[in-house]
Amino acid sequence: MNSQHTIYQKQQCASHPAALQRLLDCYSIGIRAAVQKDATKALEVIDLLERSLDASGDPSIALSLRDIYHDCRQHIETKDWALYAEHLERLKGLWTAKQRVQQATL
Amino acid sequence: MDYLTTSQIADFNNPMAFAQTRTTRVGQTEIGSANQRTVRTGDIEESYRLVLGATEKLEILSGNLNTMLDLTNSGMRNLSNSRKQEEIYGKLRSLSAGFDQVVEAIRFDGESIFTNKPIVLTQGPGTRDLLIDPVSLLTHGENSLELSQSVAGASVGVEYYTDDAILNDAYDVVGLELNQASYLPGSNPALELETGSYKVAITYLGENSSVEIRNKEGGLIEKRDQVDLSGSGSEWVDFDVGVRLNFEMESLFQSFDKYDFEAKGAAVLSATLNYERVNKHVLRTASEEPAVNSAEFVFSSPLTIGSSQLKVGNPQIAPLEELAQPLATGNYTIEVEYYGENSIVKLNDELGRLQGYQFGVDLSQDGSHEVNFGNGLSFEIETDQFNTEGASLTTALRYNREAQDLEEFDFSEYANRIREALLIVDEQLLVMGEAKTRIEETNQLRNSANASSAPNSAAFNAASANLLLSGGGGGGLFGAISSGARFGVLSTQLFETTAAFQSQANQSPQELAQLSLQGSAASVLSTFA
Repeated sequence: MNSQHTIYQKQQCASHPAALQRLLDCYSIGIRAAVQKDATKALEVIDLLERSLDASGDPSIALSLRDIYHDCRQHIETKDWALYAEHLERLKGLWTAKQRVQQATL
Repeated sequence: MDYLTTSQIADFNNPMAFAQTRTTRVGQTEIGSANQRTVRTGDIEESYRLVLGATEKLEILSGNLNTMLDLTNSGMRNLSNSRKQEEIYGKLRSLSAGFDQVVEAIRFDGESIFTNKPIVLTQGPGTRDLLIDPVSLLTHGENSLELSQSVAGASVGVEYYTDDAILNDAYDVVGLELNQASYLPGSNPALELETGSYKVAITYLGENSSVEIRNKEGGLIEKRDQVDLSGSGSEWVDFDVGVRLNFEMESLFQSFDKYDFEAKGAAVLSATLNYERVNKHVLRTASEEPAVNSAEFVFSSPLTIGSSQLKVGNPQIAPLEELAQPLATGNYTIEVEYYGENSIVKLNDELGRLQGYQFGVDLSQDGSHEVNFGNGLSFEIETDQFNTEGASLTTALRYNREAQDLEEFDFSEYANRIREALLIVDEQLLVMGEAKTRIEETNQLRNSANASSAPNSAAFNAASANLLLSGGGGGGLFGAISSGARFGVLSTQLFETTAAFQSQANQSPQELAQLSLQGSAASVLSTFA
């Protein structure tokens, strides 16, 4: 049972590096948009992130992320670029940490 | 329940009091029983109602346990007062049975919720369900509070209805009565009778009578031949279906015994046997199973003189005769002094005290001779051409009698169990309290989300269950009010699951490329140069 589970995790992880890199790139684009104070681009990034949420993976994570993206939208509206960028940086950091932890435990 | 009268104490301590009906055979497990089903609420409102109702009932259960604890403490203070102990024991039996009734009555949509069934509290679209895995709060059974035991038994009785009376009136049998029937533990469970009425057909032929149990349609279930219903006294007839019938006999006539079957043929008598499968409600603190009634000779070497032989065998647990003191569990010595038709059989306990005595036992004829002391022990003496007057055979016997539950009841041990049960109920109260808070937060969050027209993503319609209070902190959907708190929650969630990437890392290369290309590549590069 455990060995099967580990194999499953390895397969999952193996399929994720590229997808995770795209996610990190997506955050990077959003951060760049914040630096440029490009509201349109910033909103497009948030739209894409929301569209790509998948509740079938873990609904609670999806719901938490949606709430954070909702905050991000508000920050864009209020031109609070610093907070918007900080949110995306923190998310980027969390995903990077998640990947490292998962690789270390396999 | 202040004080119980003597009659109430007797009622409360009757082994059949608080018994529950049983549908399965002895030892049979109900497969796919209601206990296995999951309780699932339909929406957030039902979830809230369930949690509120369960909390209220748990508080009642906690109160009942505290009352039982007070009683148990009282029992510990009255160890030398047997009547008081019987009264307290009766009250504990009543309260523990009542406790089970309350637990069974805590139902949602017809399903009892504190009998080891998982509860899925639906919170509506977009919010994952809360899974509560409550322990069984029944006082008996596996993974329960272990305050009582449910022991398979049966309530068996004999009645004479009009149809029986009509049949019996056709024969003028005098001095024979089937007056009692009882459940016989340890019989073949596969043959156990179903709950219902049966007919007992007695074919009276003196010492060669037969007794049958038939179903209401007349089909034969079991028959016992060579039943000696002649003479006076009691005769017990045991059936493999788990029933023991007790005949009381009295021989009044000199020319024939009860009925002149030699002249008139066999008399066929009838009675109705009512059998009900039940689970007895037993309060017991001994960790070991109670001793099963048994009797065995430790050694039974025959007394052999020349070619003649005298030996004992076939020790059995026999029914008690009226007003007889039951033989206690222990080791005994049996001594047979042979004096032909005036032989003597003595039963002594370990200290040498006489516990049974039969004088004038006729051992002059070859064959088997039954000795029944009337105190719960019977055995057979076999003689084979034995005729040595004054010879004696001594043998040892081990006898086990099932002790009355109160005899081995430890109030101190029971108080400990109640304290453990109280902890379990308190834990369940905490679980329900937590679930209540979470549902309230979900409701609050949803209302505020609606007010601020948050995106209604269809992606959240998928719901999955997660263990509530599983020890890992659980999914904290509801504490995230500030942005900072949301990140804390997300961080916990991310590192708890292996399915995190699937939730978000789904951007296709095309989408990302499109996003990158929409801005001026030159400007982007210049910014990060």
